[in-house]
Amino acid sequence: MHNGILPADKPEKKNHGHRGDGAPRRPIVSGRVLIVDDMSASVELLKSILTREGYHVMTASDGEQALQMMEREHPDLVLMDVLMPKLSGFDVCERIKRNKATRLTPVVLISALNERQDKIQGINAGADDFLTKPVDAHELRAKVRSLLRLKRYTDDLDSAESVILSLAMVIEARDAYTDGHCQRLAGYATALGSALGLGDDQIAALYRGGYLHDVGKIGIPDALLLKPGRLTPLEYEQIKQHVVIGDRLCGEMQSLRQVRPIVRHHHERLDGSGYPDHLKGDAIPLLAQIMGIVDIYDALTTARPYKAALSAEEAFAELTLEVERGWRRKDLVDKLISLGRQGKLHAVNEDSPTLA
Amino acid sequence: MNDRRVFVHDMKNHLAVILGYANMLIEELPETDPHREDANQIYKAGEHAMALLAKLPSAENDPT
Repeated sequence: MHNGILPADKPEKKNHGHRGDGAPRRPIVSGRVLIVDDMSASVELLKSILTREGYHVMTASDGEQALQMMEREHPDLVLMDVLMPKLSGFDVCERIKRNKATRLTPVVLISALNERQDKIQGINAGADDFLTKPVDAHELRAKVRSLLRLKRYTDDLDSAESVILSLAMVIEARDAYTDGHCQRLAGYATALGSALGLGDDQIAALYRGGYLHDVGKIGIPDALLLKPGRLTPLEYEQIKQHVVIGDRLCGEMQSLRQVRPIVRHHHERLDGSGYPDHLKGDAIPLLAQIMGIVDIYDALTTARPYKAALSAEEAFAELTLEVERGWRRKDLVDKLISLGRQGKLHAVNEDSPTLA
Repeated sequence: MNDRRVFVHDMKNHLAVILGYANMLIEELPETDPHREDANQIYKAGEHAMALLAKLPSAENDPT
């Protein structure tokens, strides 16, 4: 989500022309707007303007109430006065942006004092835009319209991600023996990423990657994917295509750009003997290397129709062999082993996983 | 905030409401409606008051 000041729609030329009979018009983008101000006349004014545009408006007279409304009503946009008793607009904005459930809701801060310091503090609190009182009605309409459009896009994006996630769950369901594999990978990969001191964005990518790394298997026929016997070389080539298919599936989504390298490259090996691009050494993205290691660890420690589960220590020995063969980075494998021995490798435990 | 800034802030808030409603009337009354000019006068007076407020010596920049 854009966090700075958004380029507002170019305000229409200020015109005091006649705008019709004041009956609510059908909004170009529909939406539910929460207005927060301790001065009721200000609330009523904004409400009048936006109701006439056909938006659904709800109101709150202080910060506490605003946060309750966020929780209960999930508005698409918040217009909020900065200077309020108890919780200030900055405080409320910060809480909205810190909460995973509401952080994608655009917040416009409104101030009567047009001060630079206020704007900086607002940006730091995560505000998406600003308005100064007296609010110009044209500017207000333009900003509300453009931010609601933005909210619509992010909502669509969210649902697109849910579709991809559902695909991943479908794949897991096709093969009963991989049950829980995604949750475990998300858990192991984020644990290893945290231990390596990676940033929040990268940890989030590992989490999503845990679910999505094999999403391309949706494009591989059951007969092949679930074949009990050995694969012919040709069949193996077909299976290898899953990373390319997965990469393409995630390709359209901006929010998955950090996940795509994981999907495409988690079967690469340091010596270039992996697939699909035979990348070598550091050319293999770090996140993909991490996913590759935990993927193998989970495959080894899980029972399959053709093999029993190895113990953790046996799996560590196997991974160490892969280091010696020049396939895996020693420091990454060592870190995984030390986490495992400390009992810090767990599946993510969620009833309904989300692409956090 | 010191008293003067609070005063300016609150005054602006009230003027903003007056200006906002006057503007809404101007937008919505037909060109031929005699009340349109009344609303125009309210709007202009509000704008003048707002301009006067801005002239208060360093009202917003006062760091105290």
